[in-house]
Order: sequence, then structure tokens, then C-alpha cells
Amino acid sequence: MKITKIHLKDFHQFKDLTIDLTYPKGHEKEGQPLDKVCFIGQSGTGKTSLIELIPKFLYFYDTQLIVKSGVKSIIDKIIMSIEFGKENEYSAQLYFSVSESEGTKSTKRCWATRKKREELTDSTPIYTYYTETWQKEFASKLIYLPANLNFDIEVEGESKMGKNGIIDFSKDKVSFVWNLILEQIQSYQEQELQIRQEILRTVEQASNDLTTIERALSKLKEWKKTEFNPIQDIADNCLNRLLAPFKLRVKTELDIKSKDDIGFIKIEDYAGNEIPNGLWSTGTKQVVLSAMPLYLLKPKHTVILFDEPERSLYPDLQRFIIDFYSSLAEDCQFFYSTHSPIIASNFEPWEIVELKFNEDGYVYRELYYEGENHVDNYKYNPRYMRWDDILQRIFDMENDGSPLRKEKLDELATYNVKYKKLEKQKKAETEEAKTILQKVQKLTKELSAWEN
Amino acid sequence: MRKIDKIKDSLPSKYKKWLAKENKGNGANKNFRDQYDDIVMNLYKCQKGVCAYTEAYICPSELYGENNWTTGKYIIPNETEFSRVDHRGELDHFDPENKKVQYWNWDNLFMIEAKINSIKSNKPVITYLKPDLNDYSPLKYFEYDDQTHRFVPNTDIDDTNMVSEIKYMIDEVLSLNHGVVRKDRENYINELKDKKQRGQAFIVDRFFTSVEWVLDERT
Repeated sequence: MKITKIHLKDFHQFKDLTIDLTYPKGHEKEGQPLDKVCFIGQSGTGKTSLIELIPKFLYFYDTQLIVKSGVKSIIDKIIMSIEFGKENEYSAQLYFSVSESEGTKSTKRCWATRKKREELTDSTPIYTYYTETWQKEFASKLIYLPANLNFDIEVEGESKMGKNGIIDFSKDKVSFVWNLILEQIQSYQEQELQIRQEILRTVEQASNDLTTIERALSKLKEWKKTEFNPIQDIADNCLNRLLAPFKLRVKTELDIKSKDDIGFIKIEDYAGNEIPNGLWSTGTKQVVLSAMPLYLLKPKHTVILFDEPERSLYPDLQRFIIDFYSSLAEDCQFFYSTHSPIIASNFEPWEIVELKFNEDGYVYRELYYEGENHVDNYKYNPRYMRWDDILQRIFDMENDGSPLRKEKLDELATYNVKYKKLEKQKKAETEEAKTILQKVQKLTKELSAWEN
Repeated sequence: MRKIDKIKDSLPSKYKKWLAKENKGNGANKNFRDQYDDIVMNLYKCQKGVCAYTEAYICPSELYGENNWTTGKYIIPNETEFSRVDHRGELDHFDPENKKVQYWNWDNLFMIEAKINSIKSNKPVITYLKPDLNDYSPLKYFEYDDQTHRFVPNTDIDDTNMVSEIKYMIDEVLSLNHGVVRKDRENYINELKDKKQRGQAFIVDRFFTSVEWVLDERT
């Protein structure tokens, strides 16, 4: 299930804005919905609002935005076009309108569905297929990871995860997903404990029979080789790569006797010292808590919403987390909202939706192409650009450094011009020229290592 | 920011008549909206398709070429691959106050890059830096450094107030050293330098002032 278009007729700062979310002409996926979308733009342009509108249209789920704005604010104001089905064979337009029947007014989601453009289909069976079959049997639940993730890593407490239609981590603790593998871990640990106890018994009963002891030990080895170890799995295939920049890894050898001993995932340094959960850095919590839900929930055919994925992450991690998150999901559409040029550099230019205010205070989408929407007509490709270029050209940073750097560059430019003038006048050997040259050299040294 | 000759030859006769009037009245009341393309494309013709201030390339020559005027009216031929909006400029009113009095005053109009226009906003430019003045020359007020690729106030100007004034114009109004403009200018000049070194032919179609300064290539 993927969104192909969002049309906002009139909603807060949006007026007559259509956001096309399909691949452009000339792309190998031309016309298909985008696999990932990145909203960028000044604070207040509505990036988070767009993200929070999606669950309402796709799952009838009220995010904070809908609670605050009220359902009335979206009635007849917004249309979302989607495609769904195993081969995206269904398309639909989702919107809210008020229906009046038997003297009562009710709000309902209306559908205008088409199987294919040329093959009109009655909307009712498609609606039923979408809600009863597609959403319940094929697609996993929509996942929403807000900017302010709940960093509480206690797994105790009542979880409503997924019970209200979507998995909303603005309301639920991310650490609850750990419960999804707690039983697997417990079962694994119990089996291991059993084999170890057998070894102990063997040693006690046949302490001089080395062959028997070796056989008992090799049973443990063999078991470990073949048995699926959920902690080792999450370490190898998800978290260790993300924890490596912090010189940390998942602790896989656990000394536990019951399910209660397991608690939350354990982290250790490379010397094997466990880092108590309460001492995890914010960055460690962020990587563990953002990646783990996707890995454990194994989302497929759904939409994943990620607000500010760069939070607390050092730039080196921001470089690859977007591709990494994509690798954890099957046929999903990701929506990100970011202020980070490094996050933006992970996207193809047509996947970036840059929102800007016009003179009247309404929001428009800055287009990166001129003329026809064709891959060849795009002027920027963030994946090929330098970070500073992304900052300047896409994030509209006027200068290439701090105001002080600009001041120093102006100073250097002025001295350069003065020196060259003296050179032309054959006065390069004068005291004045020498003093200027010294200043040029000093400033060049200070600034040139960082280019102009 | 080079000198611009505001030639009126191809302007629509109705508009020229209004311009010729001594007591024009408020142009905003005169509806020249239907001649918007004529005015814009004539400006581009005078400016050779570049932003009047930064000299960044903002309009392809196909859009303002002579072929696009039929019996005094701007009409872009159907066969051309460009449409009338395929340029990145906006109409700038050099003196924002004059905009209120005579919106369509030809002498007060320039085409500048949209981004630069939003930075300039309603800030006025110092009168002596008007690019179509008879005695205007960029050399009088600016100098160019080919190491940092920045414009600076002419270092021969002794009047410190004037230097500050020009510097303010460079940074805050005309955006001559705007990060993207500066970088594009540096890249363009380096490309021309390479071509010149290899003996390849080249045409200068933007950043005329700085190119002339660095490569001594007059256009």
C-alpha cells in the first residue's frame, strides 16, 4: 500500500497544493509510487502535519494533529490517492465528507476506486477488500515513529501497541516491541540451560570418561550452531552495525534463570563490560529504539512514518540509516521529515518534497526540475552532492560558513585585490605590499584549508 | 553587476506612449498586465538573459530572441521547445517606493533571479548603483578577487561610509557573494580558464563582469 498523491485543497497553511508521489518519466519505476519520501522545509511549513495526516486517511486513526484540529478541518479539504494489492492492482482516492442519512450527520471515509483506469469497479467490494482482507491479512500495521521517541526502556506496563489500528510510538513505548521476542529468548535460554545441566551431570557421573564429556560438550556446540538465537540474530543483523560507531555491541551471552531476568536488551563494550540500561547515551537509545521496532515487527506492504530520524545521531550514522531502515521492511513506503542535509543525501531528487512559504504565507512545493517531470530535467541530485552543496542549494543556506568566516573571506578578498594592484604598479617590494602579503598569507592559512 | 542599456525599441507602442508622457500618473492604474511578457522579454534582451545584479544565467536566449516578436507583439513560436515561463527571474522594482507610484515604470524595472529577489525584498539599492545610469560602471564601485571569487568595494574609495554602503549592498541587497552564486561563478570561471588553456573556443553568456576581470574576456 503506497500513497501516490496528496491533494490539499485547504488545510491550515496548505491551499491548493498537490504533491505527486510517483517516480518521474525516464525512471525505471516511472509512474509507480515512491518507495520513500523525504519532507524538508523550514519549521512550520507542515512536514509533521503531512506525516500525521496519513494514519487518518489510511487507517481512520486520529493522531495528535487530528485530535487538535478536529475532524471537521479535513472534511472535503484533503484527498489522498493510494495504490494497494499484491501487485498494486487497486487504486483509490481517500477523503472525508459528511453524509446525511435519516436526519443524522456522520463523518465517513469515501472511496472512488478503480481497479485499472479502463476498468471501473464498484467501490464497495474494494473497500471491504481493503479493510477486511488487505489490511488484516496481507499488510502489516502502519508504524509511526515521532521525533520525540519515548526513551523509557522499561518493558513493563500495559501496552496498547497496534490495538488501535496502527503502531503509534507517540503513544506507546518503543521498548514494548521487545516483548515480541521475549518468549523466544526465554525458550532459547531454557534449552541452553537444560543442555548445560546435562553436561554437569555427565561430568559428575563420568568424570574420568573424557570421550563422554566431549560428546556432551559437542552436543552444546552443535545445538548452538543450529538453533535460532534471537539475541544473536538481532545483534548480527540489526543492532551491532549501528552500535559499532559507539564501540558497543549487543550482549549475547546472558546469565539468566527466568523470563524476569531477561529485562530489556543488554549492551556491552568491546571489552565485555555491560553498560547498564540507565547509562546508555541518548544516541545509543535512539539507534536501538528506532531500528529495533522495524527489525522485530518485520513490516510489509505498509507505510512507515519517521519524524526527524536524525535525532541524537552523529552524522556518520545518518549517512546510512535510511537505506538500512529500507532493508528492514518489505514493499513498504517510508515517509521521513528531516532538517538534516545528510539524511536528505540518501534520497533521489524526486523523493524529496521541499516545502516553502510563498509571499502570502501559504506552502508550496519547490520543484527541482524544469519543464517536464523527467529524470533528465532535475537540476539537483542530493546523492551526488557534497554536504555543503546540499546545505546551500537545497536547504537554502546563503553562506558556506559562519558569519565570522564570511567576514574573514571578505577581508582576504580585499587584501588580495590591494596586493595585486600594488604588484601591477610594480610596488610589490614596498613595506605596504609586504604587510598586506603577510596578512594574505595568514588569512589564507586560516581559511584555505577549508577552501573558499 | 555590469552596465545595462535599457533599449526601448521593441516595447509595445501603447506602453511606449505611456512612458513618453511627462505626467504619466500611476502606472498601476494603467493595466499593462497583458503586456507583461513583452516587458519581461525586452528586459531580458537588454540584460542578455542574466540576472541584472548577480549576472547568473536565468533565461535562455531562445526566449528573448528577435524571432519572438511579430508585428511588435511578443509571441513565442509554437515550434520552440521553451515556454514563456521557462526562466528563473522575477520583475524587480529597483526603487521599491517608485513601485507604488509608477508600477510599470520601465526605468525602474529589472529582471533578477527569484531567490535574489526574495532576499532583496523591499530594500532599496543606493541610487549610484543603478545599472542603467549613463555614468554607471562596475569598476567604479567594485573589485573582484579571483582567489576567493568575491566582490569587494573598490579599494580606491577612501570614503569609509561609502565603502560600508557598497559592502552592505553586496551582502544584503544585491547578493553578489551569495553562496550558491559565488560557487557557480567560480565553477564557471574555472571552466572557461580550462577551455582557454586548452585553446578551445568558448562563449561567455553569464557572470560577464567577473569573467572580464579574471580572464580579460570582453563580451
